[in-house]
Amino acid sequence: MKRWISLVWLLLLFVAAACGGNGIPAEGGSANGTPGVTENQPENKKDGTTTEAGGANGRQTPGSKETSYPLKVTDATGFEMTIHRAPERIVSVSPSETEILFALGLGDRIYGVSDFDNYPPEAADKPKMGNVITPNEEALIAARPDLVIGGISIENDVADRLRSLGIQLYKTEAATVDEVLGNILQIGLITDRQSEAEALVASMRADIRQVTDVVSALREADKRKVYLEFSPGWTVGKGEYLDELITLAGGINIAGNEAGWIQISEEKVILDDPDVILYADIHDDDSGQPLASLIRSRPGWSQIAAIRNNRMVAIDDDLLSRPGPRLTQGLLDIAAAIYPERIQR
Amino acid sequence: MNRKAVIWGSVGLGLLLAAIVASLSLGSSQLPVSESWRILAHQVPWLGNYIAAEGSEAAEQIVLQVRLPRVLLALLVGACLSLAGAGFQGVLRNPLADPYTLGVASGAAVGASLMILFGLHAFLFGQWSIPLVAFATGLASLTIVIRLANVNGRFHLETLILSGVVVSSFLGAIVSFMVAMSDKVINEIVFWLMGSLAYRGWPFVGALAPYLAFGAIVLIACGRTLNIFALGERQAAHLGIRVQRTRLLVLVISTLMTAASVSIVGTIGFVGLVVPHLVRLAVGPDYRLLLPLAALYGGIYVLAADTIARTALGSAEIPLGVVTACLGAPFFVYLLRKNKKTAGG
Amino acid sequence: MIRVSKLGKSYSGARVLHDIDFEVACGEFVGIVGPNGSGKSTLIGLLSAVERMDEGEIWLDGKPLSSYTRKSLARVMAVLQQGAIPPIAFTVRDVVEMGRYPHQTWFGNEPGESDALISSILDSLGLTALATRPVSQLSGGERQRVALAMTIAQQPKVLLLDEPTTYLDIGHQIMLMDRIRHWQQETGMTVVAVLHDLNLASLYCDRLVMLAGGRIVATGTPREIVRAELIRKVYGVMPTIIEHPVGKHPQMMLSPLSGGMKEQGRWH
Repeated sequence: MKRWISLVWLLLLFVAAACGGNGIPAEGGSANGTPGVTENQPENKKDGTTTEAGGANGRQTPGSKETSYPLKVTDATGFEMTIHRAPERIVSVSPSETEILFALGLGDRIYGVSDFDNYPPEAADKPKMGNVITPNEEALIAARPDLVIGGISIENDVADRLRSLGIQLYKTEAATVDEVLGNILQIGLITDRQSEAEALVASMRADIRQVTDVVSALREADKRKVYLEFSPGWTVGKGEYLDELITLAGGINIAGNEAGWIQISEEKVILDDPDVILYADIHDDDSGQPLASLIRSRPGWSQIAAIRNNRMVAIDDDLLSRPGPRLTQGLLDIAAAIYPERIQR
Repeated sequence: MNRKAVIWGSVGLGLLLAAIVASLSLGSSQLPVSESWRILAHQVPWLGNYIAAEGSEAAEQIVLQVRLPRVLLALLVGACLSLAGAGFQGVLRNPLADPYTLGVASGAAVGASLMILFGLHAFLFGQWSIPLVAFATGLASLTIVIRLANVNGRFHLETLILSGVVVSSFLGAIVSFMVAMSDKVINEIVFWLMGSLAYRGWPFVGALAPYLAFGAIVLIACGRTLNIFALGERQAAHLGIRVQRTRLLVLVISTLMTAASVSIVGTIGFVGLVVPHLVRLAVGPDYRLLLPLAALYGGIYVLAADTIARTALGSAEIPLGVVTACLGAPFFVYLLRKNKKTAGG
Repeated sequence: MIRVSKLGKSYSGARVLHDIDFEVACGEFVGIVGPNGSGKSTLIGLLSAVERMDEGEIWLDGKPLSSYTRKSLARVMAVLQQGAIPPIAFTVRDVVEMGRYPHQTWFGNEPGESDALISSILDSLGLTALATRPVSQLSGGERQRVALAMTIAQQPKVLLLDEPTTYLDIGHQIMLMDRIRHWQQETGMTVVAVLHDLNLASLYCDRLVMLAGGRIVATGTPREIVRAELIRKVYGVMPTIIEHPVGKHPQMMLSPLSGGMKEQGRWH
């Protein structure tokens, strides 16, 4: 698979080189002798890169894409920033973004993670930067990062303050599966790991196809009703990636006609009578019970098809709550939970 | 000059110095103390020429942009709330009065909650958005309370206090409603209410300082008048005090200081109630001494609380209101027991 | 010194004072007496400008009362209320010093020495031993003495008394009134006192004004006012009037109503 992709890019490269401009070789920075490869690459995903020949600090394997610096990008706060070189000291205060960074092979460039980062296991050993909404200012500055990546919980006033302290903050926000994939590619672009990013995205798309292929054979009548509880008392509606995962997996989200994160109505769930209940494998803080017991013990719920037929399936909480590289693992788990006879894990 | 005042004044100044030194030296980034002080000394205009600026840019950033403004902000907030508390207690002649009695904090909370609920953290005014709106709603709630208590152009104390309690409860219910309506699982409104001095910085120091300066001057000038108020309003009038006018002046100034503080730091408790009481226990009922000492000890109290809040748990922060309550409660118990003894005696 | 003309006052539509006319000459000791609800306290409130009058005019020392600022009025007039000093934490000396407020500048200074004045006042009232004690530790009688000291410190030309002997035992009542009269005679101060005890009023006042139902029903010397018929009409009780064995002032003695509760004529 990877070779095919590399071939396609190589082809595009030659096309670009043929149509391309001045053909000025990289200024002194090339470490080896394949000058053609490092030349002008107007083929970058998002906003325009300048056509200066950038410093070749990426790896030079044949067919690899290199990011041209300085690179102008705009993040989810609408802030436009210029990345001058591939970041060497990265801090991530968003668990899903940390997973992306590790997946792109940037583990040794990470100098700080949030208190909640636990995957991959190496992430837990990195210096702690605090929570995801208001990470610790001192810790961030002390890590001397040249890039800080924040997630959906970073609000604009926090972003403003961090930028006023001289921190280069890039906020990501992904509400759909496509946006998650886009984030991975964008981070790959910024950190000059484009081929790794593309490879990861490709494998995730393969996972998705694995599911959609199976699901496309389903008739509308065969589709099962699904209720997903990712946190005690909360489900998710349309416009969020969890809802999209359910739909991709061929399920019908009973909360799918509302938008966003929804507090459940216990009566409505009984009325909707889902065939499958998916829940995060966590404990409820208030009662101390596991979420499964909490759900089962709700009055009137024992009548629900999913509980009667014992179709309650736990999903790894991290897979549900992190729009990162393992999202499609979550998709596969969800699909297998809804249609165990068609998809096995 | 009262001997007690001299003693407690000197002790206070000593404690202040110690608290400032400790707070500037401590932080989650574990900077060596000598480095912090070199950086600070270098900033002093004349002294700075003799002390080389060692230490990295990151250390300088931390000490001068994160710690120093935070220390000053803590002192300002503590002084404002204590002064306001003393003012309220003097003019309402009620030892249980605190700056939140007339609904200012609940009003400010409504404004902040609205902004957070609708995601308007940086709407129009960047980092200032939430504080500005909270300030406006805080003042608006005082206007409502005064209007409600107004009987033919005059207002009686009991009506005023009752009006404040009613408006506070009502606004508090609105805030609770907004907390419930929030579609986020992590409740930011609750965090705002619990108080924090993180993510503020120098601009907020500049914003709050005039309030303290102006408020302190006006209130301390009213010191003798507040003393005479203790005799009762009628008696104070007989002695030549313009009761309605003085009461309005003290209430408005105290409210301005409270609104400004709450809009910046959130609704932290015990400062406006406990500090004036403790100072009164130490130096007696004379407001000419009580007011400046309350400001001094209030600043120390909040500074100590904030230092604990940001250093006790490494990179995580304890909400400031939690620390002020935990520190304040034992003092409060002590006050109650002392009261019981004198009441029984 | 004081002139009251056609004074009237209502609270929420109910008329409390009606068409009050009287004068008080300089140095006079005038008592205002009458049953509960006759408007006595309201009258003091109007005279001290803490209440606003609805009709009429009041002149103080030749000038309309409304022309005085709060502070300038306090330099001329002092008021001693019942239970004047609440049990607060200030010391006796602190409280007495508060009486100097109308004469002090913004910074709390005043021309002349006030410390000596205060010490002498404390001394004359037997409060020197208590000077550093918090007022909250004093008895009701002692606190009223402190209140008196505070009013003396104010050095007014006019003193208003609003039932100052309430809550005091007979010993303290006499001590208080004696001290006030002594002070009045020393300084030529004008005194207007609301008193509920007719006997006390008779002993100390030069002139009495009797109010009933918001109107003045009689003015005159104690001999003219403390008369059985008038008292029966106003209070509804039949007193026996005797002459005080020592000072010849009329004094009143009461007896229980015989038989049933016969409601006698009251002026309203």
